[in-house]
Amino acid sequence: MADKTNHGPAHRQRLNLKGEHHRITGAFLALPLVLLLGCGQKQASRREVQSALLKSISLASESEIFIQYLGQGRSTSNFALGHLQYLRDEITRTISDNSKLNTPPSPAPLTNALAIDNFQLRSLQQEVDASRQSSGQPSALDASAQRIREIRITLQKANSSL
Amino acid sequence: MKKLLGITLGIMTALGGFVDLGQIVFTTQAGALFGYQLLWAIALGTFAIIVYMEMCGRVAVVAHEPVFATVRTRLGNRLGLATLIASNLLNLITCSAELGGVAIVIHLLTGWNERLALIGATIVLIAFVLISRFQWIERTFGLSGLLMIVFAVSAVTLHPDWHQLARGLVPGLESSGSNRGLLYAYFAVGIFSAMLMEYEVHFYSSGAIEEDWKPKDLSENFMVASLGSILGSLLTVGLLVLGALLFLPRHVFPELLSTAIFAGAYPFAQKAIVFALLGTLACITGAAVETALSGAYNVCQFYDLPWGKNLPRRSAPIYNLGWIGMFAVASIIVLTGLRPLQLVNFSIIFGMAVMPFTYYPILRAAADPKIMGKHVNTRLENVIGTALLVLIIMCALAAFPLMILTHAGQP
Repeated sequence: MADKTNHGPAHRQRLNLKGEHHRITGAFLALPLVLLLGCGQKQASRREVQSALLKSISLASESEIFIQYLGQGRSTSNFALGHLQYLRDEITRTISDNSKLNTPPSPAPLTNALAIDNFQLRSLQQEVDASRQSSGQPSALDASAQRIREIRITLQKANSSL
Repeated sequence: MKKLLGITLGIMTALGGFVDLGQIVFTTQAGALFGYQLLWAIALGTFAIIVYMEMCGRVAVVAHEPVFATVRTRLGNRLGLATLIASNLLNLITCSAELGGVAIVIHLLTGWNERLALIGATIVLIAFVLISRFQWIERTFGLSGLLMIVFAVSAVTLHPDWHQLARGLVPGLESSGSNRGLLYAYFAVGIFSAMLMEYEVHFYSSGAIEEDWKPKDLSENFMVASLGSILGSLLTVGLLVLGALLFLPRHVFPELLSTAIFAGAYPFAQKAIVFALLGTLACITGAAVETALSGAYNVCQFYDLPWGKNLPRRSAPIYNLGWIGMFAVASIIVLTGLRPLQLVNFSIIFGMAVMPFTYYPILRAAADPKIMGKHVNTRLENVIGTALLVLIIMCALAAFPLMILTHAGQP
């Protein structure tokens, strides 16, 4: 009898090929998704965490110098507001970049350092915001510069502990 | 007086090339990371640009061949066209970055919205270039760019260690570590590249023809190329010193244009900030004009079409549409939200890769006795030009790997 039900070897081979084809297509479709998810977070190395901390130290140090300068009444108000806004944007970008770093369960020092970094960056962001609002008040700016100094020292300690 | 004003071509060319958005931030970063240790790269870049600027000016005057006519005749149509496309892409990216920088500086000066500042500045620039003769463009940006001297004054006021500074003229990295070595190489290549940006020679050689220089003006050509470049170089050294004195000890890695401007005014008060902002605005605007005009010069010279700011507008339609189009497209690129400094970092390294295709034809033309006659390169000039070209090729080969290995210069 002829293979009217289409269950013969040729059909099975076609089905196998079709299944293979689906698997390949599926793999191709899943690849961008895997890449996308993979790009969202990556396992951070010691060097990457150190680099993130160095960037945060740089931002804290820069904010500290500029706010001291501002407290001495040496900047124009447009420059002060503009520069503090750019600094704030840079801090926000750094926080966002850090969120893509995923530390492995061990060693713990990397996880701790990254947590300290993120917490201090958020504090720095708040200080820069506060300084924008009190750009004409030297005493408030001095106090802010002092707090930023403490943020910087904490970040430096975290970096040297790695 | 005419000779003195003639120098403004060299000043505008050099300031637009040396002290543009990218170089202001890049050099300050180099100082913040390595102190004075990269001073030699500035000195070498200055020497190289003087040699090639003089050469391309001489070829333009004697053979009436601006750079892209030389590129076509020496590289042939195919390679010449590829060089034209790459160079104009580079000009467009750089022009976008500079316009973005202009908007940032206007925002810092006035508090105006950055996007509105960008659109307004583009319209004003197009109108200014449209109504001005070439000489007025170079005088306006050449002379106003001198306000950047505030950066050099600030650097001197902060009392650099002159002995240490002089030691920076000798290449060498004092501290060790493979990553630091790569970073050092990346910044050396970047500084050298930024000082030799192609649009400087495109603009300079076209300017020499726009100003109708004759062979009798060739001594002036050398003076204009040298003085303009040395001035640009001194301002660049000022930026390096500011980075070394202000940021290195405090572990700051400056990544914002406003940080570099702040450094330029640091020892002083409010007026210095205004001067630093105006000087930066003049230099960055000059660079935007230089790149936009270079884009139009390149196309017209390659296809042998009429070009020139001093021609009646209707006589050179492609040329005029070309530079207006460059401004328009560049501002649209910035409006999409791309950050100017991202653009400029890419343009510096991309510029290095294209560089041999610009400088090789200039050297070939200047060394050709058939077209240069008695003004042909001397043997010494050929040796120096060839040695510098080899260096340019080596840097071009190293540029992309270094960019990848150092994550575009991140410490």
